[in-house]
Amino acid sequence: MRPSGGLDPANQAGGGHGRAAPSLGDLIGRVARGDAAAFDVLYDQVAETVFGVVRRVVRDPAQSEEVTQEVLLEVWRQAHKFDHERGSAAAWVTTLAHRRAVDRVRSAQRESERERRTATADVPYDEVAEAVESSLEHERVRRCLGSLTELQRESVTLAYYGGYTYGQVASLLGVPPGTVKTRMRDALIRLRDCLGVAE
Amino acid sequence: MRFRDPHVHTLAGAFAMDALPSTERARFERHLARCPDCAREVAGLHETTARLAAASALAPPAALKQRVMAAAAATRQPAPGPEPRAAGTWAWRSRPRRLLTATAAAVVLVVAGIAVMFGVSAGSMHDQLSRAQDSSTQIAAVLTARDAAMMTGAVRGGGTVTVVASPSRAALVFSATGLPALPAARGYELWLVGPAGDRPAGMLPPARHGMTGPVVAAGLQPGDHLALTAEPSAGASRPTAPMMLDLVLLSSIPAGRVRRWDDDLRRPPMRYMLIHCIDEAEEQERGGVPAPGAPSIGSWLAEMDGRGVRLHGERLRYVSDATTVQVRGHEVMVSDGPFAETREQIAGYDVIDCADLDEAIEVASKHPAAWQGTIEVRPVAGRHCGDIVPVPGA
Repeated sequence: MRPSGGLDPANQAGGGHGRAAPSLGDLIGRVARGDAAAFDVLYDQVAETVFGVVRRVVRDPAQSEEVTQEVLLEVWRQAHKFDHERGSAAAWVTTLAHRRAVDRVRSAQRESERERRTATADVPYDEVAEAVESSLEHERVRRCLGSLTELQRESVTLAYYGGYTYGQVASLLGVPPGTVKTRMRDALIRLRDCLGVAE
Repeated sequence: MRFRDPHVHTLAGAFAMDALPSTERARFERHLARCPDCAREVAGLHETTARLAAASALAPPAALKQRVMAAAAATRQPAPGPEPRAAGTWAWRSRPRRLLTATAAAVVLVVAGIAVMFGVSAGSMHDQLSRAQDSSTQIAAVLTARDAAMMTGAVRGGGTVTVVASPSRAALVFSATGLPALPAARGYELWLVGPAGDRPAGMLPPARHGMTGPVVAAGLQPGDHLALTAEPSAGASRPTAPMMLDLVLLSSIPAGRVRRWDDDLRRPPMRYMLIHCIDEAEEQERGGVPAPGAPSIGSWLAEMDGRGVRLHGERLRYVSDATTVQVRGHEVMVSDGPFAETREQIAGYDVIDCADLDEAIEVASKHPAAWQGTIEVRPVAGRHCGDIVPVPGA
């Protein structure tokens, strides 16, 4: 286990290093072949990141655990679909996790409650300030979020950590939806460059 | 299904953050499947959101691990893997015959559209200008052949191939999207299979962001099919693995369904817009001193005006002077500043008239803005990401 307990996509690119900690991509390959021991190691590598992002979006602790379990089972079942040509293993897992979380909060029975929340705009914008631990990765991301314009930062925070659609973000911020769409893209591109994400 | 919204690219950010409502998400996913540039961008943005996720890591309750492991042990994994033998399907993209009466302009646009689809144009320019020119020359020879015909096929196991084949050039251009990843020691091999025997037609390069090729395969003979197998990376002399694709090439296609274009037709020049993108802050810092070795704008104007290539063009004032206008529900919304906040800004443009993309690239490469920043070469009235220009009258 790394001390930060988080997933660092920058360290997940290559194959096995012959050390104790195999790369996440290798683990997914072994999981695809039904290797339960590899899944055990994989759990330790990804659980904190998955639970962290799910918890941010879903909020409710019990539901967050449910969704985290669903995500990890999806990794178990869908491991054969992971294609390292299309992106890192970390991105594959976190994309699954975030989408599951978003789907959960947007499901029908939640809709009315969220609409109320949207209407009152009672949402803390600077969600990153709530971060539970200050890992190195957390510091880097916080610094890069700080380099965005206010509108860009709010768009990213509300969409990614808040799980809102761009339309909801637009109404929360009182700007046209088209503006939010472009600012979301601009913001992620700027974050990508700031974080030195390899394409 | 095609996005008619010209700003579809701007959805990439919202998509990467799952901020699209489900209907728009589904539409954008269909768009991604046919837009390699968009897929590449989304992949990069997903790497970025992965960092956002990693920054919020939080330890789950310890008991969760036992539950997950138990659930996995009780959950059957689906068995992947290619099925033994698969006949590829091919689908013709457009109307037969009617194209034969299309105007010469449309013919040229079709070629340009296919060139864009194969990534021959501006996208590859970002990588390596020289290599792109080299490979696009070979590819263009096939694409512009008078008997070139296009087919698409589904690969058993996943993925779609697009092939443009020309009997007169005895060659085809192959490209694929979404081929399943192979173990390190294996690669995909193309085969020409027909009356002349089964011949290897080359190993495919590794996919980049799900996109394979384009590659040229030579030695096409009448009656050939195109086949694809997964072989050891060194290549095999005859197929040792199950065929993942069996694509019927030209000769078996009824003549009326083959799409042809005729390069004897006189081609009117193509119009391109050269969009100059520079970092304004950096330019101001350098105080307008040109990049070392860069040609002067004066010599570029003299040459291009002399050749009759340049129609018009202007330098633009800095984006701080920009104004954006939107009309929504009959309400005019005006704001100060650029359309999008980016690291590089549009600093100027030129509209040029030239024979083909190669000439446009040559013209762009001589412009000083290309030495300082980036020039985007955009065909005028082309179509986005491989969309074939609509057939007139269709």
